[in-house]
Amino acid sequence: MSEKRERLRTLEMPRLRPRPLPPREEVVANQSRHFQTVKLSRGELGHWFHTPLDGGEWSEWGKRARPDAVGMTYMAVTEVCDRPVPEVQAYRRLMHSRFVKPSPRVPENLEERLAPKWGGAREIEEKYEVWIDDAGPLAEEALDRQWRPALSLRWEDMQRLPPPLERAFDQILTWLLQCEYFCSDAVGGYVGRLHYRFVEIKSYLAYEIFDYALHANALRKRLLSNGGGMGAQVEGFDAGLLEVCNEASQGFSGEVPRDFNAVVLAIDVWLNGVMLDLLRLAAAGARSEFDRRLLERVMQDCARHVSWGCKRIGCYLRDAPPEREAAERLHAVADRFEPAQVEGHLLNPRVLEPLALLLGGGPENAAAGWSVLREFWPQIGERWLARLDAVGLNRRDRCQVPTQPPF
Amino acid sequence: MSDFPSVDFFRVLQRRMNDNSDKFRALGFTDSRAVFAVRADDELEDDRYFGAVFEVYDCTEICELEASEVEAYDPDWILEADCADWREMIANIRAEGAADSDHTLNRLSLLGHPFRIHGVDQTRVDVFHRQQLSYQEFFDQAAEG
Repeated sequence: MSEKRERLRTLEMPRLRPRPLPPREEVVANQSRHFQTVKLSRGELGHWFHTPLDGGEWSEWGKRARPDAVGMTYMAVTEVCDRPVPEVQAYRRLMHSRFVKPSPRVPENLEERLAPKWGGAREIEEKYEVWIDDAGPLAEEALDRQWRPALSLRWEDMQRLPPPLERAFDQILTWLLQCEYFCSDAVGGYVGRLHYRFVEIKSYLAYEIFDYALHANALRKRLLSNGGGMGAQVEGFDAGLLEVCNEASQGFSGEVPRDFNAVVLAIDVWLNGVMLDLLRLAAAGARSEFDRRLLERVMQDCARHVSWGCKRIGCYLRDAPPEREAAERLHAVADRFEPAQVEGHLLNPRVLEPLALLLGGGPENAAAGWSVLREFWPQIGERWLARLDAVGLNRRDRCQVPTQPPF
Repeated sequence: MSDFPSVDFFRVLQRRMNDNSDKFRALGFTDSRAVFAVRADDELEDDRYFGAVFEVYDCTEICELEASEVEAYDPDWILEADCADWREMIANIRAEGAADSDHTLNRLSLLGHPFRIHGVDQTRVDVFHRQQLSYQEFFDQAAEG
């Protein structure tokens, strides 16, 4: 066997050995004697129907939420809910949320076995790690502003572009596509690790991941439908961030804490902030109404991701216990990615050159595009710092994003 | 359509937004306080300020403000330009039926900076970007009639 074949062989999934099964008749007989089958056979409604509506296992009986101006939103439900926001203390049961009472039949010594702390939705269960003020409205905005690439855009109005401009536009979309996939993977692993009582946050994060998939969908369709194609791979767009995200998740294995807020700072506040600013430039330089409208849709979503990130980091800094040293941890995270990210996006020829072409209107007028880029460039770092100022993380003396373009 | 700048001009936009709730519902709900600042230039003697409140799918308030009242109005974002640049944008919307690619709020606030979008808190200014299709549509209502 060749060395390569041997290596592949050792990477194969282990074979599952089938376990001996009991005879089918025995399984059916056991099911017909099962205590639940016996209960069902009596034809009497069970405990769920008889538990007292007040003081029993039922909760929130008699509540009649009414749609608000948007519709039946989280805000409308929260208006009548006994627990409009989650409590500060963590819960050992997964289902012990603001909506479902824990069954008293589950003894405490079983709780940990039913819902272990590690490997599931109890890993991140402290309010200061997850919650934001106005969680409901942001989740509803994400839902209300969702769009459909196939329907929300008039694909029949797409216009052919001169080849150099098509190439420039496609290169920017290719960069953006890579960013979308990266964001999706970086954030995606956390949805299943947040406690259910933060239902608005779990919803919001799911919608954000949906946004990334939706953008990737729309961008791929645009790339393959106007005579262009996939551009050149942008290397280094994830520099610094990949390390931060890997360290934060610790491979999502082992009984170790995950630093969700490091990922929020890196992906939502920083990377989506850069995407938003560069998308604004690309939309301003877009040569057709269709292309502009496509990017404007994506921009709105990026801005919402930035807002979520800022709200989360602001609450983390406000609510985390002092021993977490939240500000210093976040500074250390930003220290790690800032210089590499400047190189990966803001000094990357595969990102800036196509932007200059679009803003100038073509290769013959790229100098005008570079002029716009140089003028705009300092604003990217300034907005990053302004957002951090607003949430209480002042790093103006520490930031490694240049204030002037070095080109 | 009323002359710009005037509170009547913005009230017409307000009425058209509120009369076209289906169009704005399709874009998603809004939630912000804005100030439209019109700077004095050759065409306007003194700066003028107009406050607007956007709630859900409606514009619920339009008012004129004194310069000294802008801070207390507590806007999330301020859209600011010289009067001539405002008028050029509005003329383009009327001529084209909606802002063309050279006259969108995004482009005007980036290239050459005829417009500025700013505020005291960048995280509140970001609300403009989050919901900008609705605010663009608000101004595109100037094309009607």
